[in-house]
Parts: sequence; structure tokens; C-alpha cells
Amino acid sequence: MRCDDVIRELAVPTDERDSTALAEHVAQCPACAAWAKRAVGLDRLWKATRPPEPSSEVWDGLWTRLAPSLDVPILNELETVAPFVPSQNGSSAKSEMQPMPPRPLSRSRPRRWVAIGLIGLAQAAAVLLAVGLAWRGFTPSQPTQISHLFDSTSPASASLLEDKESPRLKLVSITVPSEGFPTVVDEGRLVVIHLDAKPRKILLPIFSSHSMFVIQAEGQLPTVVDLTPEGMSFEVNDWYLGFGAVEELANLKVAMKE
Amino acid sequence: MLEVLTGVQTPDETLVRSAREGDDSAREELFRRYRSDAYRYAYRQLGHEQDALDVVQESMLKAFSALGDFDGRSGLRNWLLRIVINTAYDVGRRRKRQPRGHDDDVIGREPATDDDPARRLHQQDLRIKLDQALDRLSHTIRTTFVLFAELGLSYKEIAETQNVPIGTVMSRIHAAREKLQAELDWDELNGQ
Repeated sequence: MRCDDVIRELAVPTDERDSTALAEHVAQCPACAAWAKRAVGLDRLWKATRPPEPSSEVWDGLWTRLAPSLDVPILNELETVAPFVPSQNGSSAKSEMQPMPPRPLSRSRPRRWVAIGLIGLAQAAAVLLAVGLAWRGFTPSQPTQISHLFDSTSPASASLLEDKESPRLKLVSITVPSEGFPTVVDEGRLVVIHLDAKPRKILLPIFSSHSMFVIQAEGQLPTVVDLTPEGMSFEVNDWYLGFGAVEELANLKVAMKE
Repeated sequence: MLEVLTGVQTPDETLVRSAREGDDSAREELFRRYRSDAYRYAYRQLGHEQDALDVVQESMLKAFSALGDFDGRSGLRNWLLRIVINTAYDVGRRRKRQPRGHDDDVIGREPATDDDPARRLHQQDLRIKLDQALDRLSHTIRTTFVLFAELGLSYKEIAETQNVPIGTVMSRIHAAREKLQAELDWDELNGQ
């Protein structure tokens, strides 16, 4: 076996592994033996730090708090149910809970957030993704306004692009003119903030819906792109994943302050 | 009740049907069945017991409210885990703005882990070191690794939960191991 194969098999075991050949290789190869030793160490460390299971009293307390809320519509409920805080002894009695002020999750909450942010987009990642798009052969269809992406007062515009070969795969090209800064946005809104003077492209891969978003910021002043989708998804939340992906790719930094 | 008599677990699908019709005992059984998965996942992502319980609460609330949308294609566990993953991510983002320290015996636990203070201290120290290494992984890779290492999901199950090919899952686990093993200070850990 080659070292690469051995390490892959150690890291991600499969049913096809030849344990004898693996053991023989590790016994003779100091580099693979060291890797195997660290892998065992990681497994032990993981086991040693397993989360302590909450007591049955804590679970009962959580359920006692949760159960009455289940027939209430979700958006109202998320705003009114306080986070679960068990008492020190894990008692389940509701009166012994120490409810913290409820944390709003809905964007409809009137509380406003001032978003301040910095973005340093990884140029190479953008170029790479742009090349990827070109390679996929996207062609713009008739421009279609995607009004729900924006507030009615937003000067941003969007056009829909479709992939001929794969109708389910879509692109939204969003053009954002310069705007003033700082910008006040509602809590829970997903925004990308550009402070960069140069036009940039960010691609948001949207995994489960087989779609993809392109955001193109233009202008010399900081701009804010509001990407908050309407409604809430309880399946995979593409926006979280997509935003996380962009954040990783672009070294995006968004700070929000109440 | 039938479960007690027959020893056969009621299938998720049956419980989901009953829960949709407002059957509290079915809801409670689903909660009991998946609360631990949700908690352990959230705990590994957030490193804090209280935050993990918040995630369980929010996730279950979302899940029960959206149970009518569950189409059964991916299996209830995978569907629930997706909700938990999103919720934990959301709670984590909020926590970045209002950081908490590491746990210091905030909630009631099963007694076995609490008996020896020295052991607890040692365990906490190890956990902080592991959490620091985990923090250096990207969210996506960390999620995959936690599903694999903590919840014991198969590559196929993770692929379904994260909606990626199995090969991608394996690459992510490999990458996570490489990075974690490289980040951890083994001399220090072995000396403890």
C-alpha cells in the first residue's frame, strides 16, 4: 500500500480496507505510524470530551416548557418563548426556571440593527468561481426583476439567468449602485457589505435548491446588499450555508451591533 | 404504551402522523428520541451546555411547527438534524456577538460525570483544547466531522443530511482529521 492510501484509510475507514496490509505498512513506515498514533490520540480525546448528558430533570423541564408552545404559530412563538434555563439543580419545575428575555428570531421584530462591516473578498476565489460559471455556460434569459430580494426602496436590481442544460440551476445577477453608509437593517436580515472601491463579484452557492446567486457590487462607495429571503425554511437553510461559504471564501467580516 | 408491552419501537412515521394530529405523547416520544442527538451536535458546535439546550429547544419548536412539511424522503432523523444544524449555526452567530465563556457546571447532568472534581477539571481543559482546534475548521467541515465523530452517522447519512456526494463527505472528514491532528499539541496533551 502507498502512504497516501494508508492515511486515507486511517482517516476515513471503508469496508474495503485490507487490515493486514494496513497494519504491515504502519509497522514499517514511521511517518504513517506517527499519523496513526495521532489519529488514535484524536479519537481518545474526542471520547474523553464527550458532552455530559443532561439529567432527566433537565430534559423534563425543557419539555414542560416546550410542549405548551407547540400548537402556537411559529413566528409568534419564536418571539415569545424564552430560552430554556434550568435551575442549578436541574429541577423541572417551571417556577424554578430562570427565563431570560426572549431573543427575537423573526425579521418582523421592530428592533433595528446597525450593521457595520468590512469585506475583503478573495479575488482568486471570485475569479475561480467566475471561470466556473463561464465554463458551465450560463446564458441570461430575459431579465426578470427579483423584487422580493429587496426592500421596495432599494435601488438594487436583479436579473435572472438560466442554465440551458439544467433548467433547475439558476443564477441571479444583482447589481447594486452606490449607497450611503452606514445602513440600518432589520435584525435577521442577511446582508453583504462592501467597503471596497472596486467592483466585486461574490457567488453564493445555494446547495439544496440547485441554484446559485451572483452579487455584483458596483460603484465607489460602500454598498449593502440585502439577501434576506422571504419566509423561513425549515429544511436546509441555504442562506446560512451559502453565507457561510461566502464568508469562508471571501474572508468576509460582518459585525452587527444592537 | 404498546412499545412497553411488545418491546417494539413505534416507527417514526407513525409518530409523525400522530404528532401532526396533535398527539402530545407522540410529540414527546419524538422529542425523547432525538433530543440527545440535537444536544450533542449543538454542544460540539458551540462548546456550551446552555447554548446547546437553547438549540434543542429552538430546533424542536421549529421541527414540530414544520412537521406538516416533512415529506419523509430523507428520514426524520436527517430532516431534524438539518434543522438542528441551521439552528446551531444561528445561535453560534448570535453568540459571537454576545460571547459566553466555557461551561462551568451550569446545568444538571447525569451524576457519573460530576463525582470527581479533578477529573472534571481535566476534562474541561481537554475540551477547551479540542474546541480551540475545532474552531479553526470551517463551519462546513466541522459540521461534517461532528456528525461523523459525535453522532456516528454513516457517510451516506451525512451525505443525505448535508446534501452532498459521499465522496465530499469523506474528503471533509479527511481534511478535518488532518487539520485537527496538526493543530493539537500532542506533547502537551500526552503530558496531561
